[in-house]
Amino acid sequence: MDERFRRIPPSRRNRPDLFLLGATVLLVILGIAAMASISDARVAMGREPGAILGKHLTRLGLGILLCIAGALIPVNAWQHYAKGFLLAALALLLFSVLPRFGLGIEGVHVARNGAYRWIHMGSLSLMPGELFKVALVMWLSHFLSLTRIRPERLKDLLYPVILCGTAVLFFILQPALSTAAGVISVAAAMLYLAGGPTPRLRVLACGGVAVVGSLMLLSASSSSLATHAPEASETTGLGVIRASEESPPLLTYVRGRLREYVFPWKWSPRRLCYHARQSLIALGFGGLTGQGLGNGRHSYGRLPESHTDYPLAAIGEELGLLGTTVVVVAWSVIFLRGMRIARNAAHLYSFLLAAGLTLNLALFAVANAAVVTALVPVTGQGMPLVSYGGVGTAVNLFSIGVIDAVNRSKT
Amino acid sequence: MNRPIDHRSDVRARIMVIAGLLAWLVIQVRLVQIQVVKSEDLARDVVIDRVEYIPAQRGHICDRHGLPLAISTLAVEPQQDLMVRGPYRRSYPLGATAAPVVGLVGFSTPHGFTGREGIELQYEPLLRGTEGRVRYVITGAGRFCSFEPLKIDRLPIPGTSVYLTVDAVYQALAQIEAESLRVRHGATWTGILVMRPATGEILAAAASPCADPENFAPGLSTANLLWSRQFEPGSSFKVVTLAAALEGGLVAPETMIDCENGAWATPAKTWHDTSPLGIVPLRTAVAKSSNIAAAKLGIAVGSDAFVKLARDFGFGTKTSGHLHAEADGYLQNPGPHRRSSLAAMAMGQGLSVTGVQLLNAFCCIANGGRLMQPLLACGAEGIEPTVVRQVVSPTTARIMTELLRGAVEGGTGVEARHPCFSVAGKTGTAQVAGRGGVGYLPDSHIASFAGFFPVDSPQVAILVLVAEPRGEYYGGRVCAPVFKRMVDHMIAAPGGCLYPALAARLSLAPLNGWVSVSPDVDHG
Repeated sequence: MDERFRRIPPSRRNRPDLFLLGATVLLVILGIAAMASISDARVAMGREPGAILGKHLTRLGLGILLCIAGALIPVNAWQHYAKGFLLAALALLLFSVLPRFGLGIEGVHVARNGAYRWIHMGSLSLMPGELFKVALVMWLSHFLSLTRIRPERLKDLLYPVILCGTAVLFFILQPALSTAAGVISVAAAMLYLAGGPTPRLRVLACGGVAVVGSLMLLSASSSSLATHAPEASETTGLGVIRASEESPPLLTYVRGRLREYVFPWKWSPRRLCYHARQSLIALGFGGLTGQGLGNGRHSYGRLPESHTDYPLAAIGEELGLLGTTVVVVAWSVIFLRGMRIARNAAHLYSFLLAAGLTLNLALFAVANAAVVTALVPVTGQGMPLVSYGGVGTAVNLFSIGVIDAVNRSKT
Repeated sequence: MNRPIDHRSDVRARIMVIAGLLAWLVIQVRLVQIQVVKSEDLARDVVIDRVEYIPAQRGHICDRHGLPLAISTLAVEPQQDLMVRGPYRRSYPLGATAAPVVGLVGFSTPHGFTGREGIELQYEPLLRGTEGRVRYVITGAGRFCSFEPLKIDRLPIPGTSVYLTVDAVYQALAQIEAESLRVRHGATWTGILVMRPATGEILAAAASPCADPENFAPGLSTANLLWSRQFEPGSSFKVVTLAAALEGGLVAPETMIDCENGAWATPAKTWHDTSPLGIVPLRTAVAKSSNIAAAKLGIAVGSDAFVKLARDFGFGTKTSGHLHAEADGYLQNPGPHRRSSLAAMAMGQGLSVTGVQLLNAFCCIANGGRLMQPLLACGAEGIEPTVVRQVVSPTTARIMTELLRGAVEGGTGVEARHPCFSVAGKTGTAQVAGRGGVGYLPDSHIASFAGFFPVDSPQVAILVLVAEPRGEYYGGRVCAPVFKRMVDHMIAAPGGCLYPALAARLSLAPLNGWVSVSPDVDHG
């Protein structure tokens, strides 16, 4: 590898990357604070707290263990098991969409908001989608670094395309369109980084963008019009479009957004769908310094699923612009450090592994932030590390661990 | 496996970094736009849920006629509001005179008052009621949201009122008497208890000193000394000795007893009488309150029978469950060998009782030997007199009543005589135990008089207690006149004379089918 690009002196390589871990810890803490506030707010409003905080902490505990494991296990080990993981994750994905074929199992397949994203086994519940994301990255980094594979050759890429395609199919069946879009994006990015075929790439890129874009829009349309909004009798606020009655059609939405960008003074949040609007109100209510920890009244009262999909809105309401800036900065740090670790890796495999895992986290984080700030239509994804996400959080912490392992490895 | 990274990948990585940072920059700018530039716009539309608890109006405490002794009123004028939301103020119309019974409430908490002493505490669950809960929504601008209605989760349920057996007028009279008694004699504390023997109802329970619930001064409490304070009763306790001796068939009213001319030397100690007597009939010994006679009777009865009967009369335990801070008293069997202790107990020393226990025993005698449970509060349906047990036979009770009448008419209780009624009663002059329970203080006494009237069908029993008076200390001199004064008060109280017309006014007529012991005879 070209010495020019080696940034980190060899002597420092055995220590964990403090920036990476620091930013991770920061985000995790903010997530915990948000969960705690939500539990409190629920109690204050006369509802049961649910086991939100408790479960979140349990998952974090698991995640910390996985993080340490990921950091300690030698990076090359994943090369041997990547294929197995991927196939297993694919099988789990298939299992999760069995209800679509009429083969659902009572108690195991539980639809949430009309989507079969979870598998429940007793008290354990996991999202195969999250597992697949990481398995895919691992396998792709392994596959694309094989010497016999030349990314410029399209036929070499047949294998990954088929696997991704199958997975995307399953995602569509769940449905989890935004996740599908994200997976395609990450895979494409890794392909790009691996030096994918340049002329063909453009074709692929356009095709990919088309697919991704339509998936996002479709996802948005189904979520916006879906019954995400709570019962009309409970939550119509002043001036809010009555939730369950209508949401603006997508074209209007897109036009509205464009108008905002081109003519910023024609700000029109009222044309947004319910969730987006409430999210903006929560953020705006937070203002510069926020309402104070535990005072996220609007986001808890009017923004359901705030613990899963809108933690940024809750943080924005409680801690204001300062809080949200911290989140943005933390994610930027994670992204930068992750990519830097990738670029300083010794070999293509670890380069792709680190970059892929970083993208896995940062891409979905940016997407969630864009949704919360009403830049893009509503999707159903949470923010990694911060959201209440069960297995996803644990897996994401594991990814951080592996990235750090790449940092410290000599390969 | 060990494929190196080529230059193209690295460049692409750099491009990706820039693209990613740009993306986050866009997010950041957007956040600034939302949270700073457009913040006010958005904050106007914020909708905040509020929960408010509405205090419930505390139940009243009323006397037996419904006169309010403790009421909750609105502290402020009701607003033009959706509903009455308090806050409430607890007031005591009779002020300090009803305090020994009614007690007081603690300082208002966000959820209303809580009882701290007295009836306020004993009947807290009934009085408190249930607070209501209301949910509403306000906008960021601080106004009610016109879209969303007020949601009433539950309306406040006012507390249930508690009706006492106490008569407000008698209570006021008794309390004024008790206070002036304490001041006049410089006593430590005084108490006047008025009960109805047939049912056990407490008509008045006055004790001084007592805190004023409306001008609460820390250090004083409203705990009623008539049942929270225990003391050695002295001679009034001799009724128990007498009852034991009569019930056991050991003596009759005409039995002659040698009172040793006022000084009886026993191996343990020498007992003295205030008025020396020779060999006299029992009735004279009772009338003159002879200690020696009581000692001899007590020894003759024996410690087991004596203590058993005392326990049967209700001494040594609480009389009921709803008198706040009631004391048990102290009563121990001295054993067959401690004759001097038994002798002392027969005289009413060496054991502790409370005022209510003492008067309840007298009520038992007045009630044909049937012990009732003292009642302070009635339920919604009226009182439920509870018979505890038959302590002595009606014959014994009748004999004792006669002997006690003699004590008033020609004995130590002569100052309690009343021109309108025949009174039966017993004086008491007890010594106060010294510190550590060793010996007795030389100049400290507890004076008492307990009695009931009219003798033929007793309607009212009264106990007057004065603790540690200065100067005069005999029960017959200090308390008996107050007894007579109380009877005068009760007759003169608004509404007419005591019996029988007053009986009607008092609703002393049978409640729930209960009648007094002997049929009502019109004494006019």
